[in-house]
Amino acid sequence: MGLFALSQLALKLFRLDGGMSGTRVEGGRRRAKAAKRAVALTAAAGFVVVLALVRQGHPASGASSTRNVPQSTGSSSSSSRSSEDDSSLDGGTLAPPSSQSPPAASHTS
Amino acid sequence: MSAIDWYTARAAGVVAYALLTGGVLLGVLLAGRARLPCWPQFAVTDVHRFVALLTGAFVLLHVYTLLLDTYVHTSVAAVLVPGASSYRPFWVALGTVALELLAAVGISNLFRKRLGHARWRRIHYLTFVVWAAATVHGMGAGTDAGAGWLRLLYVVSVGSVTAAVAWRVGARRLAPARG
Repeated sequence: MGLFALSQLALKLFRLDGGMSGTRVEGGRRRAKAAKRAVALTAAAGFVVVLALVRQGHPASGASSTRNVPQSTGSSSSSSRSSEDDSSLDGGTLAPPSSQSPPAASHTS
Repeated sequence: MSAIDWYTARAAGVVAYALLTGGVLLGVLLAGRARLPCWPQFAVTDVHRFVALLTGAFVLLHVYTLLLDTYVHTSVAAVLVPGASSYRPFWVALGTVALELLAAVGISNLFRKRLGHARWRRIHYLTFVVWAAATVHGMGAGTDAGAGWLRLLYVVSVGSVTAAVAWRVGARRLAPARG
């Protein structure tokens, strides 16, 4: 009796019983469900981690990964911005304002 | 508005790209009829669809938070019309193209039966264009493109998709030789 229980446990451990009690279809469904849950959780966790990473990259935090942060001119000539326009900023001193909008932004809300 | 919109937009874009890569890899596995132990085809298809839906959700979050953001001042036109953005027009245009093609692929999935398998499949191949455009968009428009962790993500993504496509092409060439 004890040997039978042990063998069943071994089968389950090594997933030789298919990893589940039902059919192969049931097993597939269960695996898909578990995988979808894992993907959703990983995406949510990844989002939080990336959010922290991009915040750490803020010049105010001392990191330098945001060297290409767009220039917030706040003027009417914003259409002339390009990827090169922050090249003279010595390592990226510009970043999204942490607490306020650009000084001369045209929005009113 | 605070800088959180800007950070959220960037984080959502990165996660959407990682999910898109995962979806492409699963799609290539499915197309190549790869046999995974204990994973029936329908289960892989189910996960592939879920990853695609989640990608769409994060893309929408990316776009929505960009519209809210007062830092770059992205307009609806800039999101929908390639080249209309004043911020890094070319790189943002690639994102717009990727977004619209992704929407087209998504819509084609809804009309799969009506389109027929061959036509649906041809449209579905556009996902590769979406992925390529998203990669270049992220590298060019992403303000964190120079960060080590993001470079690593791009290297892993490009490497894995290239390897998967090479495997798929190789498997297709070998198939007639076997038969």
